[in-house]
Amino acid sequence: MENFEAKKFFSLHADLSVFEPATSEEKQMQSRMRESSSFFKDGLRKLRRDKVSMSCVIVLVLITLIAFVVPPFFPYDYYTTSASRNSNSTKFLSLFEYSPKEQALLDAGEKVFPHILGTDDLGRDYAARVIYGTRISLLVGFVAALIVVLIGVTFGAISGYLGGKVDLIMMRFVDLIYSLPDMLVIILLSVSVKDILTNGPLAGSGIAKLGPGLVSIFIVFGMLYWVGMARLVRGQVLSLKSQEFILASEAMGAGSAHIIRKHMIPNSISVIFISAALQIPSAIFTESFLSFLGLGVSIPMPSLGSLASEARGFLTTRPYLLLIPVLSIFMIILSLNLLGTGLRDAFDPRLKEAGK
Amino acid sequence: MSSKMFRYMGKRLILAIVTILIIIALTFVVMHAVPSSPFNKEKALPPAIKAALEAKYGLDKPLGQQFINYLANIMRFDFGDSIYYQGNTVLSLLQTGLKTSARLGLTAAGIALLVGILLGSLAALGRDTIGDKVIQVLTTALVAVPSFVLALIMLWVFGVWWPVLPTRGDIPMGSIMPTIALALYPTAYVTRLTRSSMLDVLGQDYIRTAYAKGLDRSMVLFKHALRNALTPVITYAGPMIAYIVCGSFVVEQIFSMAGLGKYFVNSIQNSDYTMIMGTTVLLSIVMISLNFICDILYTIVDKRVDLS
Repeated sequence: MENFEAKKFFSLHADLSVFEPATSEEKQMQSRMRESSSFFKDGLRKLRRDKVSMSCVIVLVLITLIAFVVPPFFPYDYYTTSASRNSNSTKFLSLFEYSPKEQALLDAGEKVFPHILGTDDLGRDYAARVIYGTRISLLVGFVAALIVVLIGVTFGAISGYLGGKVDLIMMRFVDLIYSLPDMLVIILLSVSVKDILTNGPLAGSGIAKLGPGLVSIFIVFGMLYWVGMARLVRGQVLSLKSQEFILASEAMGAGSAHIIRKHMIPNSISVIFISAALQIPSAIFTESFLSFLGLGVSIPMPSLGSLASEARGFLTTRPYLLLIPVLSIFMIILSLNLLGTGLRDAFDPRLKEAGK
Repeated sequence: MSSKMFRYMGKRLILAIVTILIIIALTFVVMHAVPSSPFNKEKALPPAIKAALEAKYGLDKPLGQQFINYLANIMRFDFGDSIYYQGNTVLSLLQTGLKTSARLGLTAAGIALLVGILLGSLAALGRDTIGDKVIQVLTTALVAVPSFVLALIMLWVFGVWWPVLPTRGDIPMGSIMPTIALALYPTAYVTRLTRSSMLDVLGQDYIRTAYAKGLDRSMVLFKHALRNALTPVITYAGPMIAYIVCGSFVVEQIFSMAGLGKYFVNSIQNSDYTMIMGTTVLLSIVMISLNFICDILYTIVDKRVDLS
């Protein structure tokens, strides 16, 4: 204090003698009350408070766990028929029913795992088929979404970032693909992929075992469905490009790679994430539709769609064969839809205000 | 109509035509690439069909020539003979199927729009009432069900469990179930769309102004709110057409109606390639033209659309 000159009468300087140093207690009050929150953390917190979204997460985690953890421990697989398992005659078992041979084993005091959901018409354990079918459907959804994200983000980011003529040409291409009737193209491709896989040189290879439907769904998602994502990312990149902080970053000498990595990607990641989450149910829908048409996974591999399709013949006698896989599809798609909306509300509040 | 509008229409028209050409080229490529296709020369075929194909598409000519022939044939709606339904041309099968399918699809689309707009507006007007909540839950659930699942569940509920409706689509009253099965999903979607856009519109200043200048409720709701709320619904027309066309494949199959969908599914399952090509091309033309019309309608209705 003494170092400072005393305030001169007409000076505009603050009179330092009326100030006193802050006590340590007062200094503590200055410290931040709340930890700083990043955009991502903020969104997660909002999401965690949303009961609907959290119950969807729980349902999805449960279904995924059942589909991926249970199979190795499950005593039955999806392809062994009762004929090859234990007796000469195939037996169409109801819920918790035992085949004659299993009944004999039980009578002899041995333990036999019950067929919780019975079997299908060939005597294959239905619970196992539903579990494996769910697994296939989930895999299709996630892999397809991954393909869409990879291609769409790359294409959109390049188009938006480069701009000009390149952008124009790339976006014309996107427009063109966007206007193709996707389902018809999917069917056409599935038919041909199926044919090539079964009659062509690839017959019997690993790809062929995956099933023409799966392969063509992945091809088609890689060819067609990324355009929505590309448009989205391009729009995002374009609007980011005109923001001041990018200009500031450029002014400070940052290169393209730095700007893309540090500014573009972190700022569009939530939009990409939400759109990808909504892509999964659409892939599962497509797969079940193709399976129903007989273009999906190859026999004997089950998918939820093919299980529902096979159950058609037993609608009058065993409706549960239909209801169980259908319930599974329903739960998965419903949870993903609701979670997607929840994600959007949590991470992109502007969209919520705009309605929808 | 401004010159900008014409330019926009011209652009969309060119896009539509190019898209159709791409589809035609795609079918052509597929037919030549696929091992068991009739266009593949090593394939054993009924001799009559083989001769007809060779004559029609000139399978001994260079590929470019064949493609031009193929295009010319399509212009005349000549898709050749069906392989599975022997003795029938693809066109005659498509014609028989198209009538059934068009009736089914148009009724379903009509129901979806009418019921969806009505329910959506009611839900928006009675926001947060029990009725609104019920509509919300139901529509959320409905959009999570694939079309064939809906059809199968309806078949079970109204055909087996409580048999009140005929389960075959080709008898009187038989089209009730398939139509409803096909209409449910788009109805739910339109309802949700109308509700949210109606809520959006009802919060706008011009609605308050309309009330303030003394207009009565029905006038405000119909002339000011609903008309503006419906523009987003028009954008859904394209996806709805696509959904109904694809949904009709499975719905017709499940309820055994002799429509386009049933022929298409059968031709897929029997590798009837000429039929697959014909149906794909025809349906693509139908879908792309309808989409084009909706696009143009949208720009006429909503003047704010950016045409550039």
